[in-house]
Amino acid sequence: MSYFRMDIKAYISSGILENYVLGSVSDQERQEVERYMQKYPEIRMELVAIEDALGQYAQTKARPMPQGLDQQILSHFNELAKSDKGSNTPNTTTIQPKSDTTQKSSSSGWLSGLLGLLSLLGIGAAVYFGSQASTLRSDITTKDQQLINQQLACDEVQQQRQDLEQQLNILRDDAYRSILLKGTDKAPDAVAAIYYNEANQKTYLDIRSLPTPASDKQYQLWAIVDGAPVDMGVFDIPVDTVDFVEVPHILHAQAFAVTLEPKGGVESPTLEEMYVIGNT
Amino acid sequence: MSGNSSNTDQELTSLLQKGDQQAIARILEKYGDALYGSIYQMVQSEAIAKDLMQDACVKIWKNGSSYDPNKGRLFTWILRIARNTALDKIRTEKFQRQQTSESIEQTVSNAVAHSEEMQIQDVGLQQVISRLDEKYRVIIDLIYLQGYTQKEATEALNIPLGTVKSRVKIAIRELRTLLNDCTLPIFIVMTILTIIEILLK
Repeated sequence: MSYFRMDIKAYISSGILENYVLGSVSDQERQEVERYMQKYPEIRMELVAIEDALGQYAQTKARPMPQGLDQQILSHFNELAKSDKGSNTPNTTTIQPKSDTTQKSSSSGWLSGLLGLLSLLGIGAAVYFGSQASTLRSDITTKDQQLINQQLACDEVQQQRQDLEQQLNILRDDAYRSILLKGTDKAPDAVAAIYYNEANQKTYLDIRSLPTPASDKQYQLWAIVDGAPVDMGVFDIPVDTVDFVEVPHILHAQAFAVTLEPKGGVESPTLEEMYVIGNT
Repeated sequence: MSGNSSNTDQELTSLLQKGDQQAIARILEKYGDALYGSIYQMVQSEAIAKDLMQDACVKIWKNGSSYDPNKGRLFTWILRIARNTALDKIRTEKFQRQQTSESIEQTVSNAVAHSEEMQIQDVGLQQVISRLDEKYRVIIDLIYLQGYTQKEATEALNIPLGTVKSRVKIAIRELRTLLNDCTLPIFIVMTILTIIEILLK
């Protein structure tokens, strides 16, 4: 029994329920969530709470429909109904809006008085328990925030560790050739490297030092094949990352170079704007 | 979600399941602006958003019998249909998706500008939501309202997948905390309104 309790908590905190509501789960995960929510009321309650919070969020992002759009859509429906009369539209009669439920309230005076009294008692109880709960809740919120910050820091460190591990694997792998791209006269201190693997046809760019370009410019990477430049795409200077950037693999490249070009790149390189170059 | 009684979703569901067109009128009344907000955020064009609203309504109506209230809220279901309708459009028309950090900023500033023109009834809720950190609002906007996959959000925001995942989780948790903190006053107001309603009868 206690095993299952633990399990449900872990399941709830895994984030899968959030992803279910957002629609970012696989079919298999979706079926799993749907099965669990029928079985465990805690999971169902949690899901409803997530859905309601997001629903309220969506409400604040609502945008008034353009005037007449609802009428336009409804008249489109009328056309649809006319065109396939009776087939799949069994109920086209208008339904009275919920006002008919008010007929039931033939409540006499004392009953509404009693209900009013009960409601007042309810308010009293709500205020009392509400103030108690809000103290506890603010404690929990503080702790929760601390936990969240720790978790976020932990996730980021883990991600960085994975990235670094991948880079280490590339550096250690003999199948990768390391090609140093040295600075030209234009930027003698600039330096970059290419890791080039013909076996698995993967290429990574390691930007070590390149001057920050003007905002309307971007660096563009080129491979030289049989003396002709081949475009390998533009890139921005990463501000706070040391990651290798995966770039397209160009077969039989004899050299790589980086030029500074107008934003978005150009079809053939501007040679006087070459910053680094290196032969394979 | 709006001022309607809580059983309206049940009524809507039963109308939908019967294939009654009244369902669409009621859905538009209750959720139309929220659906339109999501679609508009995705396509940024009134003309296209209007067409997509109509397409989405037809899909909602045609698939009404497949909605199962045991699997989630009605709004989650119809928003998913609206989002997917817009996504199909974006994909087939080779719509340029806003994937640079610049246009994310644009999205944010649009959202801010737009919130200023919001109707007065949502001001309280608006204020609560505005206390949610901007990075959390952006991630919810992208994934929940604009139908980005987590991977697309990774590219758009230029942050690792792990961070997207944890940010989504934290964003919703924070949102819930903020909303919970304001449920007591809402509860009191609702109770008072109920009493007034009873006394008026």
